[in-house]
Amino acid sequence: MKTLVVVSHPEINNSQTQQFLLQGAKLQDVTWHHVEELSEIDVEKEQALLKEHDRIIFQFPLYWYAAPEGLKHWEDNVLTRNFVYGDGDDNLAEKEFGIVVSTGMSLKDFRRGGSEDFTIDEIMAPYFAIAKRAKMQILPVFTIAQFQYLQENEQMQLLIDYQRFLTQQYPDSLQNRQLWFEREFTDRFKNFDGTNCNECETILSTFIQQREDISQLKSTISLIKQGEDE
Amino acid sequence: MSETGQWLSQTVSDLSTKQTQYENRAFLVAMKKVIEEQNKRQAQLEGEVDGRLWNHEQW
Repeated sequence: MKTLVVVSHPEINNSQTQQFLLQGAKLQDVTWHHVEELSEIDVEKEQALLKEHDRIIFQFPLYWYAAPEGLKHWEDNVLTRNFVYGDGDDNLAEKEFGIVVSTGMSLKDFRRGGSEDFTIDEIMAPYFAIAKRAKMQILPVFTIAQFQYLQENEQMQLLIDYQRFLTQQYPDSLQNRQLWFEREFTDRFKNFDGTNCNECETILSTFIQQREDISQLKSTISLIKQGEDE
Repeated sequence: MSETGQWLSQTVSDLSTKQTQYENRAFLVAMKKVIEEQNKRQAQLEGEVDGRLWNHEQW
């Protein structure tokens, strides 16, 4: 699966959050595409980029309840009616669509009765409307609230959650989470300090065994449930 | 928690403290959380199997 991260931030080099995410996005099969860096928008090239990828992410800081103007400009040029739905090709259909949005406000403000009184999902409605029109599968929004206040352990968790958001199979179930860690552990353990291949292989096979044990227990329960119904 | 689950959690946790690279440490700390979730889910499912097998209404 290939993921395209369409990033919009007018001052990306000064954004701690975006620089942090940029490090996280350095993964195989992930393309980082910063729209403000494009000197001009080559529509065909941009559309080809969208077609090449299976998961499309819009990533931006929240400016007045929307993305910065760079993303809107990009959308208005690239997402032409014919490309999205007009010519019957449904070029984006079946692809996945996700949003990574950062905000300086606390997450608890974005709820009914909170100081913003709107949820993040409500604010993101225009993007979901585009995705729906394009017949894309919508992923839950990945919100980063008050990055600068996160403690080190929270930032570490954020980094891995973000990587999973970019590359893990949808939906975010324990099963898919386990499969992601299995795959990534296999790719990464050669770079780990203080261990050897044998130990890492034991860790991996035990982790897989745990997943299989859970599946086994689940199927035992469904057999018992079937028996109860009869 | 099973002995295997406990061993796995501890081993991954120990390995995370040995990492000099931030991303490797972050990965292993996050993996430990998934192992904890595995252990919890396993205990819950085992409990459910026991509970259903001992359901007197099915005797």
